[in-house]
Amino acid sequence: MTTSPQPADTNVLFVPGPRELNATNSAPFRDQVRSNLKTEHNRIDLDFSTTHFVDSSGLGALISLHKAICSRPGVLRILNPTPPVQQLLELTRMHRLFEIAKV
Amino acid sequence: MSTVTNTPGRLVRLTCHCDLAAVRDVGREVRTFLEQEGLTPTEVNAWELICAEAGNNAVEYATGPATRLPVEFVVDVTATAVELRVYDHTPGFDLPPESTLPDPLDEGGRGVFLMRSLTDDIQYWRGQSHNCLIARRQRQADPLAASRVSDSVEQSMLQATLHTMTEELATSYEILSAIFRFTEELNQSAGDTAFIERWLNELQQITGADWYVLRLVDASGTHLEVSQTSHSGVRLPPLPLDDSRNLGPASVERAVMRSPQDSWFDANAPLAPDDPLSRLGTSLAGFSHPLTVAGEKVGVLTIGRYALTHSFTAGQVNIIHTLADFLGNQIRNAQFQAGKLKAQLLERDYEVASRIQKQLLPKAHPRRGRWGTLGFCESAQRVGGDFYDIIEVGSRGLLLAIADVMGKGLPAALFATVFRTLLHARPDLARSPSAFVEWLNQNLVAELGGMDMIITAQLAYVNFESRELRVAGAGHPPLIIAGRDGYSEEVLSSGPPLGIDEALAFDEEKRTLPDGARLLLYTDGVTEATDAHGSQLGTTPLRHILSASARENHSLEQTVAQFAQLRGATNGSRTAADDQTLLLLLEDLSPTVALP
Repeated sequence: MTTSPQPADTNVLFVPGPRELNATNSAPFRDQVRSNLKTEHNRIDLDFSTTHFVDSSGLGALISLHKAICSRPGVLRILNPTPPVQQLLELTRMHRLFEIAKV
Repeated sequence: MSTVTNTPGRLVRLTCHCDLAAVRDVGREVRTFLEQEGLTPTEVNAWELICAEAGNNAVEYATGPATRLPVEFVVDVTATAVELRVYDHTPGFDLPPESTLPDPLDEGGRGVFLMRSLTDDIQYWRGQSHNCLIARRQRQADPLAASRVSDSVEQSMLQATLHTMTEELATSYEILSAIFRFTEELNQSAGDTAFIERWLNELQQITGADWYVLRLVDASGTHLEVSQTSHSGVRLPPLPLDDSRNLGPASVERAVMRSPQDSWFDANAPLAPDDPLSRLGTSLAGFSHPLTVAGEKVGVLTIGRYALTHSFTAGQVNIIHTLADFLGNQIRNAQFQAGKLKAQLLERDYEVASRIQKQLLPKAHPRRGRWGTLGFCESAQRVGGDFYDIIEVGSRGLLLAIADVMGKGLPAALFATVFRTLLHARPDLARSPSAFVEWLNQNLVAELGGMDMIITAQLAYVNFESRELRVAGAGHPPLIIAGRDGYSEEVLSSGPPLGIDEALAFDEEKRTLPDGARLLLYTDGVTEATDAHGSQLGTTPLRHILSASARENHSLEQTVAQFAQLRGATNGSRTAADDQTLLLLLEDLSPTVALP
């Protein structure tokens, strides 16, 4: 996984989502995003347009990142989630917690 | 790598090491198998997730030697249903009869909820050597599945993607069309009540909401007031914003004002019984969204439905966020424009009042032979409540008047205007200051009382021929007299301020003016002015200047210059805290001055 700030906004940490966020990679994913968070960041944009599978461990990692950015305060956005991921977010009502954006 | 035993067509048995990556591989194998069996993408997604959650549990809870034993998956597909069995070697657990979602901020505890939500039936059997989780789910009807398995998989995936895209397109279309519909109104009515109501009704229709409540922060910034609601007949009280004390009822709307996040309520997290929103109905589900503009919270929109289980989709939440935030911007802009207009109107009022106040002061200061007068008035604000006047009474008398309306700004200036009008209305009372003050009080008490204001005033009648001085006061500081022979006195006027009681009588002090007399009337802004150390000026310096002026026969201009110097030393470069007014009468004993 690589992270990069969007050129237009240095307050945003832009993170391309992995193909899957599951029990095998959710903890390292969470830790790597956290380590890339800079003082000036007040938003994490997770591009989930190519993420096809997320399980409950993956949700746990997203909630952890959400709490980390909210304490600044800031916001976690899930960009362009694929249909299975969007269904999972709605089923677990995580769409109430995260901002789901179509960009 | 998992070991696969496949019974073509109907059943697959997969065995893998007790390892997270291995059970994930099994999930992918199951996915491929079910796609081949003609299940829809939604069903395949669900079973892949169930496999992952069941397999993860089988690995994560295995301990000791059990971690070296395999995990087994059996998937049985019939024409109408799918059954998954997962055999684990963990100590096992008691499957709760119902599963609810944990607190949204809990990072774990959703696995069983997901499996139960995605299946029709789930059981967990605990055995001596192993345990078995059994999950069943009916298949969705698909008449083409049997004949065109691979085509239907592809087609169903396309349909699911198309459905998602259609929903996104509809969301964008709804947002854009709503914004365009109202764009024409923006210059005329954005932020007004009718505009807000139409906007919210539109939002309610687009999202299928049953009700909404919009609260805005009031002008004082202390309360959330209802601006618009779909239930105009239900009274919703203002909510105090101060949460430092335990004020008001438990309220999801108040909570949202303290947080940058939405706050949801439904059957799992119901509204508190004393939450004012509970007045809208008994089965409320929805959320409160803060309206924030440039970091400043302008209000909160709460929107919802009556069915506790019928929640908004992510697309609908997006629409609500976008349209609510747009509305918040319009409301803030309208408030800003209204505030600007109000400030302009107030500025104009002040200009008018300031002009009126300047008109009130005497155009010229009368001189009669040896006797001269000079006054000075400076307001702490652009418009103040101090006032003085000099009225000629016959050929040998003057009435000196000074007043201080308690308060500053426009209301004080307006009462000074009324006072001046009354003062000029009864010249017949000028020779009797006590009667004049009594009459002024009777004519001002109703208006002053209505505004919770009072006026302190002092009238001094001087007869140059008889050298008689009559003084009456209403709560005003004492008048100071000084003479050439060193005499000086503070003549206290003991009456109460004007505007307290209509039936008041006022005393009158009489004196004979000494040779080379100096009379000083002033307002408390002069004696209560403080120096840089916070010490008040008091009357002593005024008496010194006045006595020196009488003793050394200083001219009016010299004497006033000394008072000005004293004021400068007191106030320095600071603006005075209160209006400062002086009125001086002086008898010039210079031999060149003609007798009256």
